[in-house]
Amino acid sequence: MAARPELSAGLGLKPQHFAEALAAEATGLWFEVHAENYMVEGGPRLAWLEAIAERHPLSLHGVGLSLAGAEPPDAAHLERLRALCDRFAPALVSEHLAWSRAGGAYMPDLLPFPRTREALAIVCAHVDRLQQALGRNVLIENPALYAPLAGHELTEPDFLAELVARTGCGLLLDLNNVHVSASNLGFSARGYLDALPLDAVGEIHLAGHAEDAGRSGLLIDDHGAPVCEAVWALCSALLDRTGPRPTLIERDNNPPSFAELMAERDRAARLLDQAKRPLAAHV
Amino acid sequence: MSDLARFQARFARALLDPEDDGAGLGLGPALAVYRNNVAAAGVEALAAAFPTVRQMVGEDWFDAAALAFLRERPPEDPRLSAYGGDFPDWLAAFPPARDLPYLAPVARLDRAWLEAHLAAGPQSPPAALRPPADLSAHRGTLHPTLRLFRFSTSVPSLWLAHRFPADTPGDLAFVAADEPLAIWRPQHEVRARKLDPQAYAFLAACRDGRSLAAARAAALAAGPPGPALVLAETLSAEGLLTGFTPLDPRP
Repeated sequence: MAARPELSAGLGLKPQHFAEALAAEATGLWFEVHAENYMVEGGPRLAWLEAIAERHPLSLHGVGLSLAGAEPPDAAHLERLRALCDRFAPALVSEHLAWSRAGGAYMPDLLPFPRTREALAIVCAHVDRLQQALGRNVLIENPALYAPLAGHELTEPDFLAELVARTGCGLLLDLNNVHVSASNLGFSARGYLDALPLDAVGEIHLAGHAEDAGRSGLLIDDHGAPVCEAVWALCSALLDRTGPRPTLIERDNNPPSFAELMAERDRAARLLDQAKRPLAAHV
Repeated sequence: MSDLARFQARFARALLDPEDDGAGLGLGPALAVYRNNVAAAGVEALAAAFPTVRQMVGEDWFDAAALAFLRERPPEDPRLSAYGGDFPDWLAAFPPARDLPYLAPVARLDRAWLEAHLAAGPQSPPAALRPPADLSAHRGTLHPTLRLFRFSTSVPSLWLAHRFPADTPGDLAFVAADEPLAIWRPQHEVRARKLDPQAYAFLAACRDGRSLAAARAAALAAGPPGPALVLAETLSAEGLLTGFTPLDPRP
């Protein structure tokens, strides 16, 4: 069996770029999709994904499983995710440290919760359930936060470290979310990274953000802008510690041309190449 | 109920009710951010699913209606592409739409387009098929993505003029009319067209499981002869009809 191609820098795949994505040539290029968008019976988007997945490694990024919800993950949803994994054999599978379901409703957002030991036990159980259903380990993404909330018993890095230790899952480290949360809640992004189990990082997300139009002073993780320099700097600092990791440019909202996205992707690829080379001896 | 469940139930209520002040959640200005995110995602999904409705009433009217629908009937499922199955019925009862009797039917057609777009179907292109010699012993099978309609108003013409503007003349009135319509995805792209009375009668008979002989008779009864004789071939060339199966011989 041929070795899986090494993942370097990748792009979020948008329908308007299907043809260009299929034709794209770049070493280590891979694509990520939102799993829920492909949980359909048939039609052109699945056909495109099949074609693209034959040429480039794929990552399935779930947004709706509500792993931090009090309710257990929806069994039908888990089954659909498992079926997608079986069909596409993705190189990476990820979900979020967030909830979205309560009382029969699905709220299309990634919602926060007090990080209590009770919540930790619930999230661990749900991640266990997910990994069992898929027959593989998954990566869990850190959230963008807009309020400190009361009632935390663990810091977020400690919560994630416990989750990793207890379930064997990995981390999807979204550096834009770290930057946004740090700005909104007034903590140090570098300090946050220092406290994480960085060995568990299996994927990195880079994205842009915006200032809240509602003038709250908050930064909003809207994936609608190029990656800012502060986030590129966090990425360099992280890669110095971890070495190269598959890194995704995530631009979901009003994406520019494919060429522009590839240019940003290429910048990430260069960082990853540099991260491979050992640091020159300091004189 | 765990503390987590209690917190989340409270949060969900606050998200969907703009009058809720969020007391007890400790969210501060973040509640507005989350509310906005949820509203934007829900309205965007409905806008993508009902583009003809949105075109007809304009973005402001549509987005306000979509937001009202979202708060009353939030999604039950993270497959947002499929959200809004009961939006057409809800629109029919929505007081501001009272004077727009074509709107809910147009929404039904948008929904049918979406369902055809996402449905499972054969990947191979359609091909003209000749029916078997014994028409009374066989029935026609329709494309699995086909949605068949017969309207007593010009809603199909209105919808087609918006949805496929290159194919149809613009500026049509909402009037009484006999308009059968087919929406289906023969291969990769959704197609839609009005059906002449013979084609509709033939397809409806196939849908109802009747024999090819009965379908042909129905087509002949619906209009002048000629086209009805080669209906099976022309409809299969378009992918509306995909094959022929023997009828159950039991009486």
